[in-house]
Amino acid sequence: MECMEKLTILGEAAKYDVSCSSSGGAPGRGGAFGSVALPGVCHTWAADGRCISLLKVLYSNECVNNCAYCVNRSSAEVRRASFTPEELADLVTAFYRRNYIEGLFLSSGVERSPDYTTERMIRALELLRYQYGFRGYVHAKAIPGTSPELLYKLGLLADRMSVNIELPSEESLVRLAPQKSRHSVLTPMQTISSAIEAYGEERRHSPRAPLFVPAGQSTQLIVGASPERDLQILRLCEHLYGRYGLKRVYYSAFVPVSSNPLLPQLALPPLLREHRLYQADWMLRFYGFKAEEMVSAAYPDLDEDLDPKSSWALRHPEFFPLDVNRASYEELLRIPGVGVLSARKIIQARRCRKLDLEHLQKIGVVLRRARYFLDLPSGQGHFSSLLSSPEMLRQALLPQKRSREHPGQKRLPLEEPSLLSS
Amino acid sequence: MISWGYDGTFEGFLSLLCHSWSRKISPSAVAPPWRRRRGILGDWEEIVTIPSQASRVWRYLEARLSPQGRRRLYAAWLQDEDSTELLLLRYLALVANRGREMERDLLHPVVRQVVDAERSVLRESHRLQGLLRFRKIREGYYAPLEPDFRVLPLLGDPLAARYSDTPWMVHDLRREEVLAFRPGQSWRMGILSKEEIPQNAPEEENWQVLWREYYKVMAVEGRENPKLRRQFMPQRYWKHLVELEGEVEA
Repeated sequence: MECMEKLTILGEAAKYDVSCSSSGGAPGRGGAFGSVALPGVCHTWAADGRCISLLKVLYSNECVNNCAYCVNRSSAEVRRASFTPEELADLVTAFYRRNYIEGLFLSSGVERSPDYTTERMIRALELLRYQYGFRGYVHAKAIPGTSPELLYKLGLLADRMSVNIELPSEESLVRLAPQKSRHSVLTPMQTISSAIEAYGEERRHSPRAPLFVPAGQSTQLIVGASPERDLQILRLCEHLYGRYGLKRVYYSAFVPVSSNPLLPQLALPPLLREHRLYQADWMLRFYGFKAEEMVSAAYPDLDEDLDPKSSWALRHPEFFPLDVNRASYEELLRIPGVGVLSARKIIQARRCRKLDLEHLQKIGVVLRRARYFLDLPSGQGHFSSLLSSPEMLRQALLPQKRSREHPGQKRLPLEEPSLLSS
Repeated sequence: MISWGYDGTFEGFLSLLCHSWSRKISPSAVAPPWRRRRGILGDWEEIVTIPSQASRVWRYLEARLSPQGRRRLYAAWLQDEDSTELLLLRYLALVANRGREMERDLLHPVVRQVVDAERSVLRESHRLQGLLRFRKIREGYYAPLEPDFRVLPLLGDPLAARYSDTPWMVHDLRREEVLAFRPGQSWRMGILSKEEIPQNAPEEENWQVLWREYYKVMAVEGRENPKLRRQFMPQRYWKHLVELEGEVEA
């Protein structure tokens, strides 16, 4: 089989893995060429708007498992292929030298057994690292059921590892991925997490100690293939971040790849739900929110019409209005529309002068939603009076269709919004 | 109307600062050679680069600006637009008057413009660090670019860290400048006309075909999102992207 054919088959088979991040790797690996950039670098964007930063392929799409949601399940009639270590290493280096990619994302179907498969991945990565001298970014997938010794070996070759948790509950796993279980997924995650900690500790004492998964581990789960609510998903993710020190959880809107009766029939992948989950995920990691603040028994799903922070703010009018000149960093982050960058800018700018609405606008804080939650000096409108009328406030916060006819109106009009005058 | 030309190097710009300050003259236009060709008519007085003056000005700036402030000055200077040098002259006059606290006054209109200039230059250089495409040529690799700003000097360090075992060059076709690297040496800037595009090596085509194919395969059907793609990757950059060459989106 020619390289082109293999690349097509094994790229096609890997593309539903969402992660393509290349950030957080540590420099200082030995080798002849390549480097990792701390912030990560995107190299291109596919027609679906997703960043392509790594050459994402399976080592082999042969698979003994028969997971209902997966294109490579053993019962699927797809063409099967496997790389040789040389083919893969040639491809990675040729693409890398042309600056097409930041590195390699290597996963695989389970050929014969998890250990057999992982050994083959290790062989390919050893060739790439030691013979070809490649020190670019490598993301390696840990296959559930692999022995710890092989995971340690793989971890010494990779910048990041991930084990896919696939589905948000044990019941769904049993139903859709009969060969997997919660236990078989969490065991390697725990192995990797402890090893990262142990090697990291060693490296703090001696900078020459080997690097083990310096960019940490991540996981992925499929949204919309099983009946779990957002509440369950976000609680699970909060647990994963806390317990296993994961760097990222990726959410993948379920794209129907088979007509299995166990799977829901969707006209379109639930992209908006995926988007809201990512927003909620950011709130967990960067904004100091807890899962239970965003979803609860009373609100088991995120509001699809509003971002999670706006809907939290609507439920908590007592927290607002906030005075941007006095609020702490953590408080600023709770204002809808104010992100990490804006909060930092506010803190820096207010050292020089007392800030009003116009100042905020000038330093680039997006005020469309934020203004309703701010305590502003008199004469700056009374946006926050809407706080007492949740339904009107909700209307004001809903995303607006952009009109192309009045480009000038995209800027914030500083007079009061029409909602109040009508 | 006083129009000053200079050689387009940062040293040249520092010399020009010295020239302006010591004579107390404020020019109404300043431009390196490539912007004079394109731009405003009139007589250009050439300000010669004097290294000793440049280093004197740099020592002065070291005393007046924080390290971060000096990086900002340099990045903003790379914006390379008709008003860039004049903006920086005004900015440095403010710094001379009010000192370091100026750097933090993000609401001052001049400071804001400098910060904006820095931000757009850094954004483009980070973007192009991913979007530039090398082609194998007879000796080493070659990448053509047409950046909005003069980002080549900012690409020198990251690319040299990455491709340290082979010669390569990045060509700014708009400014007819080149960033060139040879193993064992540090990167250098030079001049290269836009007509002098080296030929691809024979094996190049094969890899380009593979990459185009892979690129197509990676898009998930049912999730097409042309607007999002354009947002990340504006069409003006497509011309030199192997995977999108010649394609224009409807």
